[in-house]
Amino acid sequence: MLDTRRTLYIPGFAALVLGAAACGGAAAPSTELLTARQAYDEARNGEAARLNPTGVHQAAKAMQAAEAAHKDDAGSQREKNYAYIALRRSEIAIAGASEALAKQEQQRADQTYQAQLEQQSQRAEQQRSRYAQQLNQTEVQLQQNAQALQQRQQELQQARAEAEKAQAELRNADALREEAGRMIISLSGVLFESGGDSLSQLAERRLDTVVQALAAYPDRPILVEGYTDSQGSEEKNQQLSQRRAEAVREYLQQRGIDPARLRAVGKGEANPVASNDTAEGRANNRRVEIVVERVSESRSSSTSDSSSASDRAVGSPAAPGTDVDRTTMR
Amino acid sequence: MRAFEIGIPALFVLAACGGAELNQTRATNVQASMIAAEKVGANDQPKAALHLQLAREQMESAKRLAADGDQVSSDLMLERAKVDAELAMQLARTEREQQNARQAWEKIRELKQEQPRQPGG
Repeated sequence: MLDTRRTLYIPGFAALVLGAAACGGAAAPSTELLTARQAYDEARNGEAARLNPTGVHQAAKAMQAAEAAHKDDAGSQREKNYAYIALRRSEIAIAGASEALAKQEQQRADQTYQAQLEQQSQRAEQQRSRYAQQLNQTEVQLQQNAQALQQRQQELQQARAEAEKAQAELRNADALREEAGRMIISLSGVLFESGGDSLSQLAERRLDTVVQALAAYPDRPILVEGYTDSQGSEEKNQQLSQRRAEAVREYLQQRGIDPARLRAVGKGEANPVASNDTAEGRANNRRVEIVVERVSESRSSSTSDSSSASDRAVGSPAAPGTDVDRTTMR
Repeated sequence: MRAFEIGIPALFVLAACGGAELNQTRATNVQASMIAAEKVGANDQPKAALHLQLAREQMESAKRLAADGDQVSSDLMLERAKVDAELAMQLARTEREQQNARQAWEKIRELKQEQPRQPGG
């Protein structure tokens, strides 16, 4: 408990005191007593006074006994024994203070540990809560998605049913046919006023049915071809057929068909489906054909549509291997 | 009367030659303190073990002094043995508590190392 510094200077100090005593002064305290005094000073002036007052008190009592022995019989074995006991009491007091200090330290560490654990636990709880919230949100989202999907499926089913119904209607009116994977809807009769390009009410009704039928092919490109009879000049007929095709394209667009899918081509008096010599034949030749193309042919085939779609006239079925095998229905 | 006058000095002489007995109460206290020191692990710590050894040696000295008839010195020696035993016990307890405190801080250090890094930290 005592440091080396004390151990070194005590003998010197003792020698000094003994020397003074030899010269006729008071009897010098023994080395043991000096050491005890110093240890006691350390105990009462250090942490021990605060942390271990009982120990310091016992050291004080032992010190008193040692001092009394010194007073009674300086330098005696009795003094040395009491000084020894006093030294140990001071050492016990100091060690007791160190123990108390260590206990405090441990208590502080335990509190810190608990605080850390609590902090960690809180963090974990917060994280768990965040995850639970995210999970909940995801579940809600999934549920919404599932509902939306179900609704979409129902809508699609309904649209498909309506499309099938419309197609059946068109088929019954001999206006729909399929050729090499393409669907062709041919509309003729009183679609436009004579020489004009405004759609008649009848034409709009029939186009509404067409729109329903087209719902079965939401991704496929659509080509609108306009035809005239052979009355009038060819150039005018060409222009008229173009305007009529445009009118149908615009109507389809108004009814919700993506304009990117729509193209309009005027064919003039080409490819008649009936004789232009009779009024009935000419009425049939004044027609619009709506071609639902295959996805793969889309644009590339569109450049040749004017010829390929037009090359098939009445009584001239499509050659084997061609894209369009048309059967005009009216 | 004569015989009595002769007998008393003889008793004193006999007592002086036969020595004194060790103070059993104090000796028992010392033994108890030494056992208590051993129980808290004084033998496992060099400094505490030294004081325990001193206590044992002083106990033996006290016995010898008692046997020599020096009752006062014997008692003082027993007192010395007792404080050494007590110091041994105190040192052992202090060391144990200090070790506990060190372990407690080590636990905190380990806990901090185990902690996952905070996002963005």
